[in-house]
Amino acid sequence: MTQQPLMENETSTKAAPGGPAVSGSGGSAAVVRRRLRTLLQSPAATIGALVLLLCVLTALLAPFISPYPPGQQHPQDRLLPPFWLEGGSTEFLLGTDNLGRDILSRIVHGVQVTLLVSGIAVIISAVLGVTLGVISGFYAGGWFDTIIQRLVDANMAIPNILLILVIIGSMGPSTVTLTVVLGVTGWVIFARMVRADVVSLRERDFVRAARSIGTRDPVMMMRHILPNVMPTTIVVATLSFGTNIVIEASLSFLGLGIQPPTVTWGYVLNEGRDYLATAWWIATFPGLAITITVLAIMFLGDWLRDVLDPREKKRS
Amino acid sequence: MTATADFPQQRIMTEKHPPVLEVEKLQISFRGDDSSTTVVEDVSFTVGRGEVVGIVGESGSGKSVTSYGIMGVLPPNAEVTASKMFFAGAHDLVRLPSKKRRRLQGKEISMVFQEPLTSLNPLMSVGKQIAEPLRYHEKLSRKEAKRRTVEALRSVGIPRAEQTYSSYPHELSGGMRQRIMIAIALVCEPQLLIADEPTTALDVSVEAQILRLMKKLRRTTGTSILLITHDLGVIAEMADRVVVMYAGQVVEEAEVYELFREPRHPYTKALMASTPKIEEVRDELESIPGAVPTPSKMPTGCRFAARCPKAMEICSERPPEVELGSGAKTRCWLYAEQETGS
Repeated sequence: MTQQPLMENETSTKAAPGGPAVSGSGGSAAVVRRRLRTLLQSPAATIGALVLLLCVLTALLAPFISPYPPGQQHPQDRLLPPFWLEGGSTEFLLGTDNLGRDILSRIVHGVQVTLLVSGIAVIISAVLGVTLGVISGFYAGGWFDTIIQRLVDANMAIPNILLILVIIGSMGPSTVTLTVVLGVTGWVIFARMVRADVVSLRERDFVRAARSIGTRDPVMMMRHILPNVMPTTIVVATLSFGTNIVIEASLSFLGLGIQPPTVTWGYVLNEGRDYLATAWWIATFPGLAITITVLAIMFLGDWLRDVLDPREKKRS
Repeated sequence: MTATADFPQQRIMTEKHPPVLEVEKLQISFRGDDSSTTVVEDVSFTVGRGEVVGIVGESGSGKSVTSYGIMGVLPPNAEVTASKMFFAGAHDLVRLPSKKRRRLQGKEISMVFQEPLTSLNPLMSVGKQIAEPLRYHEKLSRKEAKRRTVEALRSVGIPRAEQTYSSYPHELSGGMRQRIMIAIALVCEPQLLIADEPTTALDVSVEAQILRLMKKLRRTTGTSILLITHDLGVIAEMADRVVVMYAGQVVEEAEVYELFREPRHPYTKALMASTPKIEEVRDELESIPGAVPTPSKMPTGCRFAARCPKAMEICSERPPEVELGSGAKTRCWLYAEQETGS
């Protein structure tokens, strides 16, 4: 098993004879190709990647592929079911809502904001949470750790949604505000999980060995600790992404999230709640879209976690 | 340090230069929630230039903690005190500020650990790990560091050094990993190498290879080695001088031939008697009755008294320290008269 990659490297070093750089890693193009191959080897990851690709394309091409503008009302065609049910029409593939707006068009237009808000918020949370978690865990028991842990405790005592409501309530709702607030309040779970990882990592032999060659603390955290908390970070990020979509939906429902006429999946989903008994399709399709997207991200996250671990990479 | 150090002349060199490491009355304790436990007490020894000093003792005798203390990699709740702990006659390792200490770590003093797999970062290629000390201490460019790393890989006997550069630890065998650890430790050509049970986790055949490699490297670089092991076979093979530790104290110190010819302390004798022809770790402990006293309940007298076949009354009162001349020492009342005689 280990023979294979060594042989590959052998040819790559031979290809550049006399070069002073004895590169064994190959070019970046080769790396991309190898990564792509491992992606295709995992069916779940392939599906995940395809779904996300579809999401991105939809987000980019929404104005062109959507049958109607998202806010366009069709008073004659209110609460039409999807086309395959009795009373449905192929003009409105996934049916219409109480104002006669096309559900499909609203989902298509909702992709962009939904993904951007949740995605950027996850990145903000991860950067904040991982940084604080690594430092806090590395100096566990120190003053910095104590402060961070009290903040985490305080945050756990208040439901996140309440905190977000208060902040947005005082700052006024907007897409940017929502993204930042989601991001800033989401660091806690990252910090908690990462800290736990770091506390055990710093007792590991290789950290002691790294210290024995005179590694400074910041370098230790960046080069030895951080790469080792990536698996945890990715898992938490995929969970956090899903949570963000749901929180955004709840806030939109309360009128404090994304403001109409901008549509998001969560907003459409919540609009359909009153009609669950009579027109299930209004809530079901945006809900399905959320579920499928979150699943896709989880599949991809699983794969990414394995790829980042060289011990896993060489299996397959 | 002259590169032409020939080993018959080593004694002479020891007299000329200050010893690489001087430890006197080293004490290491760990602070608990409300009490502190002393694990190493009153440990003194020196390591001369180009010398291999072996520290031998069973598990829990404090030999690893001693080495961590010298290296400065103890956890933050450890307290190190010593009346003297000098490196190369110039650096006081007890009071050294951490910034200056880091300048020594990996450059002048370095360490090989017991478990080569867990002591390497699993997510970093071994080449990069060997290059790290070069980058920190010699501020080499990436390219130059890589060249030196490949050189270091060759010098520890790794075939296809250039390909191994980008391998990850899990792709290598145990022996190869320990060679990598040695390469990391020696890449900056330190004056002192601390090897903490470097071959315990390895097969016997690989163990011989690693020991041979360490001997060869000492010959070529003149590095002094502090070798920590529980294996008397390894000591016999490698060491010039031996320090025997028991329950956190040095119980005997002697030249290696002298120690094997005439072990003095009853513990050393028991240790030797319990080592069969095949070097099997487990048998050592089983054949000495009783167990090592726990650090929190150390007897006031000799710590081996309870297990000692020759224990006398005075043994449980206070421990002796006996100089036997020619650098040999033992902590046993049986030899107290010899001291006054000589």
